[in-house]
Parts: sequence; C-alpha cells; structure tokens
Amino acid sequence: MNRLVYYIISAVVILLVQVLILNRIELHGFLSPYIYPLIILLLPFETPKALQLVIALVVGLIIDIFGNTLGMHAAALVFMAYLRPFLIYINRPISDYESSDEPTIQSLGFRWFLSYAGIAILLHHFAYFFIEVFSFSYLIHTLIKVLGSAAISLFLIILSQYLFYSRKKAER
Amino acid sequence: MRNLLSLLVNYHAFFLFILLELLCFGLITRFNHFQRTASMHSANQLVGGILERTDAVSYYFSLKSTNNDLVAENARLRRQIGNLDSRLKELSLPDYCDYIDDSTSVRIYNFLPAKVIQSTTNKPNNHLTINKGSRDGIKTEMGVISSNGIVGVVQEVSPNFAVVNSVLHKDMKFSVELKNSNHRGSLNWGVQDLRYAILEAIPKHASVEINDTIITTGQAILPADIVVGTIEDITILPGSNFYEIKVRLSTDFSNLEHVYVVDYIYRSEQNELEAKSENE
Repeated sequence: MNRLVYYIISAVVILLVQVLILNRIELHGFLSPYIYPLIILLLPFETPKALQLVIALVVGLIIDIFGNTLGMHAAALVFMAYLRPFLIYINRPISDYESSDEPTIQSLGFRWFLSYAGIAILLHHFAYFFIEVFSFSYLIHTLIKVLGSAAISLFLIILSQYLFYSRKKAER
Repeated sequence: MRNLLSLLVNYHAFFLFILLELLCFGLITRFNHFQRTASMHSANQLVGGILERTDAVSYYFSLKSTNNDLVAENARLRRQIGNLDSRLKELSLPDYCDYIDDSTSVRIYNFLPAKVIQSTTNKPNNHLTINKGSRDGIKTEMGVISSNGIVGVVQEVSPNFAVVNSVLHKDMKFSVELKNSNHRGSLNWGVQDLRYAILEAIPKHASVEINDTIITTGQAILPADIVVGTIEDITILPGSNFYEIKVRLSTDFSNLEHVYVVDYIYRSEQNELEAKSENE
C-alpha cells in the first residue's frame, strides 16, 4: 500500500515537472526533453501487461491535453509500454531477477538501468517524433531530433533517479 | 470457438495494444489533421487557466527584454508621429478648398493587444495560445503580428483564449514582397531552424540582394508593409525560373510575449463580395 502511494506521488510530480517546466524548454529551438515515460519505466515488474498499456494511455493523454497534440504522446507511450516486458527480458541479469527487484538504479544498478531506460527512451522518442511529423520526408532532421532529445531526456531521468534515491535513503 | 477464445486470452496484451494504438491514431487524425491541427485543448477553461498562471511566473524572467522591446517600439512610434505630423503640415490643404478625399484617412485595421501564454517552436506545426478570445472580439483567420514582425494567423477561438498558427507551421503560406522591387512571392517555414523561413516564387529577373527587407503585401489578413525579415541566402535552382531565398525572420519566436491581433474591419464585406463573384 505504502509503495502504491509513493508511486502515485512520484507519478504526479513527474507529470507536473513535464507539463509545467520541461514542455517549455526548447534547446537550440528543436530539442525537447520528455521524462514522463519514467512513469511507465518505474512500474513494478509484476504489473499485468494490460494494466501497463492502460496506464500508458492515460499518462500519454494527460501530456497530450497540455501540449495540443491529442493522441501523439499516448500512441508513443503505449508503444513503449507494450515493448517494456521485452526490454526487461533482454536486460535480465545472468542469475535472473529476484522477487524483491524493482526497475530502479538502487535495486539493479546503474548499468542495468542505463541500458533498460536508454533503449526504452529511444523507442519512445523515435515513435513520438515520427508520429509528430507524420512523414519520412524530414528524415535527417527528425533523426537528429530523436537522438538529441533522447540524450537529454535520459540524462534528466537518471538525474531524477539519484534525487529520489537519496531521499529514500534518508527516510530509512 | 474455444481455440479463438484461448487465443484472445493468451494474447490479450497484444490485442489491447493494437486497440489502443488504433484509438490514438484515430485521435491524431481527428484532431491534428493538417489545417485543423490546433485541437482546442489549450484554449479550454481549465487547461488555459493553469497555463496562464504558470506563465505569470515565467513572465517575470523575461520582463527586462520585453520592456526593452516595448521601449524601442515606443521610440519608433514617437519618431513616426513626429514624421507624420510634419508631413501632415506640408500636405494640409488651404482653407478655401473644402473637398477632402477621405479614402486614405479611414481606419481599416484595428490592433488588439494580447499576451502569449503558451507557445511552441520545436514542432513541425507550431502554435501560440493567447489570452484574448471571442469576448475581446477575436475571430478566426485574423492576422497576428508583434512589434518586430509577423507572427501568424488565428486558428481557433474560445471565449477567453485563442490558438494562433505561427509562421513556424509546415502548411502555412504567407504572401510577401521585396521592399525594393515589389516582386511578390510566398513564404513558408519549411520545417527548419526557428530563425529562418523559405521565400519562393520570386522570378529570376528580379534584383535580390542579401540583407534586402521582405514585407507583407497587405492582402486583407495582414496590413501592408509589416516587416517579415531580411534575406540571408539566395539559391538559384537549376532548371527553374525562380529563386529560393532563405529569409531571416525578424520575429524571435523563442521569446514572444506581447502580440497584436489585426482586425481587418471590412473583412466580412470583402469576403462576401469575393464569394459572390466566384459563384457567378
């Protein structure tokens, strides 16, 4: 129960940071960080697949309503949520996951999280930016956008993990 | 039948995934299709209210540059008033002449000031949300300018807010001309850097030079002689009779705060007349 409350609070914080701060940031005029996929990335391993998809749809639509992009973020996030179990599978440790593991840096380490979140963010940004242009005619421009924005998003996501981590430690 | 059911149960996540993606793409095509791009969500009351409140905070950070812009604009307007006053004195008619042609003295554009509460510059189709709506007399397809140049065209209006298609929109075209030679062309952003746009359809016999000024033509939506930008680069397309000109936009879309919505007073009259002549 405690874990659920903690999860909901962090999801709301992530949404607020995304909508009120990050949506206004545009580096070099076209790079924009999206950290809200973290809400899906932090879901416990045992979350049912169908529930993950529904949560992704709701989170995506909230972001869409604030960004005038109805459906675009939702489509990209549902896509990422669908592929998440596969990412968890290909990143599994040699000794496989233990029942107490969570998809966080403090539970499974920096390298695991980097590869897990890195691939997920790339997939999400790739889907989102191509849905946004809705064509392949600006291919190079869009690819630069995907890679640049993904790098910034990933940096912010890992940074936020360390912020949450230190707070959790202090509580104990 | 049982096989079908077990298939559905085993692959329920996949079917749900397909279903949700279909739903999303339905929304995308329903609300984001070409010119109907601006779905009205940032103009609805709740979201608009939240955005306006957060904008009130971020507004403070740019007060200084906004102020500078306003001061510069004031100065320019004052200079203009001075010039116009002296022109007026030169032109004023002698007392015995009581016939005055009023075709130039009629005011045909109204300028409604508004504040930008949300804007994007990083999408293929960019929009601004402004804090004035139909209650303040704003209607769709009104032009929007800033003190530095053109901004865009009003796309959708709610009672208190309006969404503006910015120049940085891949489907928007503006009719513009060269200040020096009055050759007309069409300006389109072409999905690139927010500082530049592409000017097309200027014929090769026109004399164009780098740093020439580009202005609006004054065809109804926007008044004439509003500065659009300066020429940054000129390309001659092989096998074409036209230049492709890169224009440095005079409006800085990254920090727009105050804009003016341009109300063309005779718009409905002109539209009616044009529609009538097309029908005949």
